[in-house]
Order: sequence, then C-alpha cells, then structure tokens
Amino acid sequence: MSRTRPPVWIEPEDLSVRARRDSLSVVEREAFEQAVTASQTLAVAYRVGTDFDRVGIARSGDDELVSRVADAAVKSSRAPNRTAFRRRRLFFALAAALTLAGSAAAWRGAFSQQAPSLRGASSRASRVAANAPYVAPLAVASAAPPEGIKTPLSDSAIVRSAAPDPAHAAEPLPHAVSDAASLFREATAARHAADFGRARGLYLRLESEFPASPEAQLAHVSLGKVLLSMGRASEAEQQFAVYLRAGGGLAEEALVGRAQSLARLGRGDDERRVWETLMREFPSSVYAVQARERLGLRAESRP
Amino acid sequence: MGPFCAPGVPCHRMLRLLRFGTRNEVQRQERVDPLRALASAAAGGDSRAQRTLFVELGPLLLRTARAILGGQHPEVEDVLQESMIALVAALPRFRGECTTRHFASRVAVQIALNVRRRSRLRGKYVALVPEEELDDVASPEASPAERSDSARRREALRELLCALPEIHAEVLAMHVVLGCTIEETALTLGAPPNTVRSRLRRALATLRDSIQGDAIRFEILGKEV
Repeated sequence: MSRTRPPVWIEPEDLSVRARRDSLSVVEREAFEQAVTASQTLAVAYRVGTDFDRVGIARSGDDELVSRVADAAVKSSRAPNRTAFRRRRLFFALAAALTLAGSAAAWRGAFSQQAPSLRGASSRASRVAANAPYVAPLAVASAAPPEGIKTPLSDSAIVRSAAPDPAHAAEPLPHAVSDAASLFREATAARHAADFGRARGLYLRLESEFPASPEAQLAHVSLGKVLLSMGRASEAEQQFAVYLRAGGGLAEEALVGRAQSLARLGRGDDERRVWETLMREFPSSVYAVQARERLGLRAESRP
Repeated sequence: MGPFCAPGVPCHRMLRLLRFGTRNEVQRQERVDPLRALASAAAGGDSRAQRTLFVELGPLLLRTARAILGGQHPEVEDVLQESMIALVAALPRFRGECTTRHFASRVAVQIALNVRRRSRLRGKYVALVPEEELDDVASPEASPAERSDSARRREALRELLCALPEIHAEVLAMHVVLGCTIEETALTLGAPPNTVRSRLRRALATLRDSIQGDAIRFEILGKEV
C-alpha cells in the first residue's frame, strides 16, 4: 500500500491550507510535498498564501481601533435610513417649489390687473434697485439644521464649516480640533512603532494643550496602555481612572487596563472590585472570560 | 428513506457521510458556532450585542481588509466600519449555513474587493500610497529582500483579484488570502464544493497564466512556475 495517499482523500488545495495551519500529519505532509512538486500553480498559491499569513498578525493598537470603529458602527446602525430621509427631503423640496410657483403665478395675475400708474412706479423702483449695490439677504443663508437634530461632522468638516457667524464673529476658528487630531495620530503612530517614550510625551501634550477635545479624552486610555507597557503601573492606573470618571465608549477597555494596573501593583482587592464592576456593567463583554479567570484566581489566593 | 440510509440518519446526511467520511462528519457536528447566539441578538437590533459582536469579529474584519487592500491603504478603517454595518444589515438573512466568523469574513471580502476596485480606478488619476514593509513587522526573522519579495507577491495577487470576475475573485480571496478550505468556502458562499473547486482551479490557472504572460509578475512569482 502506498504511504503517499492519506487514508481519507484530501484535495491538494485543502492540503495546502492545512500546511499553512501547520496541521498536517506525516503522511499528509508527504502527499502535500508531492502535490506541490507536481503542480506549479499549487506551489504559487501556497507561497502567496503564506505571504498573507505573515501579515495577518494583529498589531498593537488594533483593539483600540476596533473598539472605536465598533462604537461608530453601532451609532450608524441606529441612525435612520438615509435613503428614506433623502426621499422625504426631495418631496418637501418639490412641495415648496410648487407652492412658490403657485404664489408667483397668483402675484403675476394680481399685478397685471393693477393701474398703469402703479405699474410705472413699480418699474421705476426696479430700475433704482438695479443700480443699487448688492446687499446679501441676511436670513437666506441659514443652513443650520432644525433645533434638536444633531448632524455628525468629522473634524475636517468642522474646520470647513467655520462660516462667519455674526454672533461669534470675534471667536477664533476651531483649529484646535484638527491640531488635537494630528497630535493624537502622531502619538498613536509612535505607540505602534513601540516608541513609548515619544508616545507618552505626545499624549501628555495632547491632554494638557487640548483638554476639552475628544482626542484628549481617548488619550487617557491610550496613555494608560503605553504606561502599562513601560511598567509604570501606578501612572497607568491613574489614567484609566480619569477616563472612567468622565465615562466614554472605551469604558470596558479602561476597566480592563485599570484591573491589569492594579494587579501589577499588587492591589488584589482593588483589582477584584474592578473586575466585578466590569462583570456587572458589561456582562456580555468580550473580556468577561478574562475577568472570570482573574476573579477565580483571586478567590483561590484568598486565605 | 432511501435504500442507503441507516435508521435514524437522514438521507442528505448519509450522502454527506459517504462523501466526506465519518471523521469529517463528527468534526462537523462537534463544531459549534460560539457567536451564533450573539449574532441572533445583534440581528434583533440589540445594540449591546452588536457592539460585542463587532469587537469580537473586528480583528478578523480588520485582517481581511488589510490583506485585500494592503496594510497602509487609507481606507482600511472605512472598510472595517462598512463591513460592520453591512454585517448587521445582512444578519437577518443569515441562517447558520456556516459559522458567524466565516459569514463576516465573506462580507468583509466583498466590501474590500469593491473598495479595491474603486481605488484602482481612481489610481489612474491619483497616486496611491504604496504598500510599505511595515506589514512584515510581525516577522522580524525575514530578511529585507524576502520581505520586499513577499510584499510584491501580495500586491500582484491583489491586482489579480481586481482583474478577475467577482465570483472567481471571491473564491480566490477566501482560499489564498484568508486560508479557507474548499469546504469552508463552499459553506460560506452557499455553493456546492465542486463548484467552488472548479472556480478556484480556474482562478489559480488565471494566476499562473498571468504570471507567465507578464514579465514583472514572472520576476516576482515565477520562481515556482
């Protein structure tokens, strides 16, 4: 009996996948090597597949990115259907146009029945108006949405929409938003490059220079992670605590980070309380397994 | 009950047993989808379940987006978000033919391929950011030359994904990029395994032909051809 054919027939393409997963038996590996030697196409597919496997590993900062995007996606999923909104808007625009056209037609009809003297006065007034300098109407450019409706604007959109507002004409344009965003990006890039010292400096600068920006709020969690990587658990714990006091979408991650910091500081009881908070407030959290494990360990280590 | 059916075993399962063997069938039965309940809750509109599902599947979606677009593509984050939104929209139609992870990966593959095609079209007029070797940070053992070759091979395959018909590109992406077996791909796409096999072989043949017919690709990938 030939040893090259596995007991259960597996397609060469599947052997290639299993080789990439490193789950081939000795017999299957022999079969795979023969298949690769026989088929150049399979060899290319295997080679390129391993190239992709090499880049499939998670990077630092992915958790934060996923968490942030997940929050945005949940919000978008809850938002009303944009197509329906556009249709309604189109309907109202058409209705308004028809009303205006009707009013104009009625006004024209009434005007044509006026006395000739009045018509002459009107034409003179038109000529005067034509020679006068143009003055922009004040109330026409009101592009603001109705009260109570919030429009999601990106940072760049906020900067772009800095139209002159008579009430706040003296206020400076919100350049701070884009600066905070670029600082945050720079700090995150430094963190990804494992340049923790630089990342820490940038996050601290962001927190001090733009304390009211949303990036500064997020920076507490990012900086906490950086400090934890640097072994400065005490400072990390403070950063996570600051974020949790203010609240935000990364509360789960902040709780986990705080619990890890407390564990490193040897404050077991405090760590247990944080894990319990996580389990109570986020029972379906992806960190629940980790929380249960740590709580189990804490319970075992108790005298 | 047909003549080949054992008592208590439905015909289609018996056929599957004959086709794939008992070991495979047992593995299939043992394989459970740990995200199924969460996916059902998310499909019902539970926003907390949706967020948890997104966080759980996020790394997979991110990996898929990066693999198809390139790690440094500016739209990776957008594709991640679009995939999450499309996943929630598609979940009510998901009947559990495959695992939730495979279902989500298919959604991400489709969206990433669309974005890749759009970017390619736009790239005719606007210079695109080339893939950097940062992708290979995770494999420090590779030499710079190997990393460069690896990046060029990946880019060559991505180009091919844009050129292939959609059904072939999808199968090729699931198999080569994400490392799915034929059976997993078939379950995910809802197509018979034989169809998937023939599509895959046709796509791989196109890959081989494109390498042989293109001097640059031949230089990059032709060592094995």
